Amino acid sequence: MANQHFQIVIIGAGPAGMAAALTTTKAGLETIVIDDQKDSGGQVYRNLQANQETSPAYLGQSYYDGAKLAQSFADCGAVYRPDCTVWQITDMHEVALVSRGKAELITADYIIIATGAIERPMPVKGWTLPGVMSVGGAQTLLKQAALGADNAVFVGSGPLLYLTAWQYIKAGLAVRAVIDITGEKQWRSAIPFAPLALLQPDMLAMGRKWIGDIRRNTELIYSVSTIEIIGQSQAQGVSCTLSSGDKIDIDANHIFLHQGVVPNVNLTMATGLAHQWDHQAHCWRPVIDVTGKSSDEQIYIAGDGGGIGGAKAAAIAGRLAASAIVARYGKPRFLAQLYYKLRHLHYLSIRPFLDRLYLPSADFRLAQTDETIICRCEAVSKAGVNAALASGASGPNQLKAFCRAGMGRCQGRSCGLVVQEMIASHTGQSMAEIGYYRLRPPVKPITLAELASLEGPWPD
Amino acid sequence: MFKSTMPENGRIVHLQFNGESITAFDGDNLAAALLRAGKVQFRTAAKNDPRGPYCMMGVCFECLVEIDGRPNQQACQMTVHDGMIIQRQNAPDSAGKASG
Ligand code: FES
Repeated sequence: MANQHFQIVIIGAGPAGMAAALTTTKAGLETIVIDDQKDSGGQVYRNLQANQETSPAYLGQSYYDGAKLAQSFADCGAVYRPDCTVWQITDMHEVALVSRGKAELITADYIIIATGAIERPMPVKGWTLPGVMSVGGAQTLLKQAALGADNAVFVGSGPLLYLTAWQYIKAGLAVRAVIDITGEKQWRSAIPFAPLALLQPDMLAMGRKWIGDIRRNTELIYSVSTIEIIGQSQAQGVSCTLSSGDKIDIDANHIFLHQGVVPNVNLTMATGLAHQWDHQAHCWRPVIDVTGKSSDEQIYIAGDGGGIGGAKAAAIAGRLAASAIVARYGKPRFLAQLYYKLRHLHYLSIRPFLDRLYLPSADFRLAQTDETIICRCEAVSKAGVNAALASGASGPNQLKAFCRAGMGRCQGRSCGLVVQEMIASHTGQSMAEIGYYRLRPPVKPITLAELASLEGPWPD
Repeated sequence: MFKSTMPENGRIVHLQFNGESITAFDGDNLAAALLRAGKVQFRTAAKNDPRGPYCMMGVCFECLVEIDGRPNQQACQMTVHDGMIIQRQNAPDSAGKASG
């Protein structure tokens, strides 16, 4: 079987990928959208079409705002391939994927990577215990399976945490407590950017509503300096110390952690695209121009995968990248591009404020105790990483060889940023100097049987 | 324990988790179905190191179980089917290898 060829291959069917497809198909370009979930929508609009039938109000208006985009996407004429895992993009711009146990190669003129964000790791003692989940995971259960847990404790900071705790309350679940790790220092650094954030009054108002409702319905605990999860075979509670020195113990079997989201860079890094350290958002991001074009002329990156902006900014970024590509087929759309650029800037105006306010302090980015697991896959503790540093491991890849941190199936997604920052604080180098794990395809584990099913020449 | 926030409906299917029979709804996400049944531990990373689903989006690999004899399946990315047999995945597994 010859390779399939499409003019445009879009990876990811969240807001950026869906919106990009609307623009490329309208321009008559053959477009395929490949996604690893069963339905379009990405994480933010997960299971939206099914939820519309019963429309639980507790999911909130910002969720249902995605309905129009999802419907237009379903009607746009792009070939849509759900339930597919992309494991490599080759130098020849072939996209290698696995679908139902079979590998395939799809070639493209242009590729738009719209693989979104992942949650920033939050390594606290006991975070590997069953019953502890990320807030994103808890929200997915609510959206996808209408499941929630009574008496859960939410710990951390950031819009997704407040939104999910709010959704829990609206769903009639008893929330035991919300422990907010946002410190005074973050407020001080964020306040100068509040006027710029006023350009997004709706988003600010929404955040205020979530936090107000949380305050009225559960215990909101501030000014914490340490956090630890208690339990043997599963989570039994949270113990935290306040900056006043007081200690609070809360019984809970469900504890949800979150301290922001960062671009999901595994595919863009493994593809060999240039990345840079983002000082404001404290994460890696691909180097892209204003239209989303990466260091490879044929590859664009749209949405949170290119830098966190949220769902609405992502959809506009998808439009912008797609219209830049359409222009390269000789169909310039100057006005549309200008409009998308301005809209995009407008949506991003709240980020300088949010990024500073919700950048967790080093206490929470780096683990607080020696026994805290850093690399979940290989069960490497903070002490284990420190031992590797003491014996001379000087970079993330060497450290991997010394103590196995980052060697597991998740390929560093749960530990990479933490390990890198531990190296930085040990050696005094900057994050940019240290760099990230060297990532290579496949970016998701695939089996030999799946590989063997690939017809035609193998990618190198 | 996780509970439904909406009225439950759908065709009932039967699963087995570590030999115990569990009911779920047709089309359920597997990790969600197990959590609804009160199962929070899906695997062990080492002796005395129990783990359960963390991210629910395919990123963390904490939800690995053995399904119908096939190891290393991400429960959060799977849909249930009637008669599905699930085993907790106990260490040592082949974690860390890209293939196999
Ligand atoms: S829960 Fe993280 S991969 Fe399944």
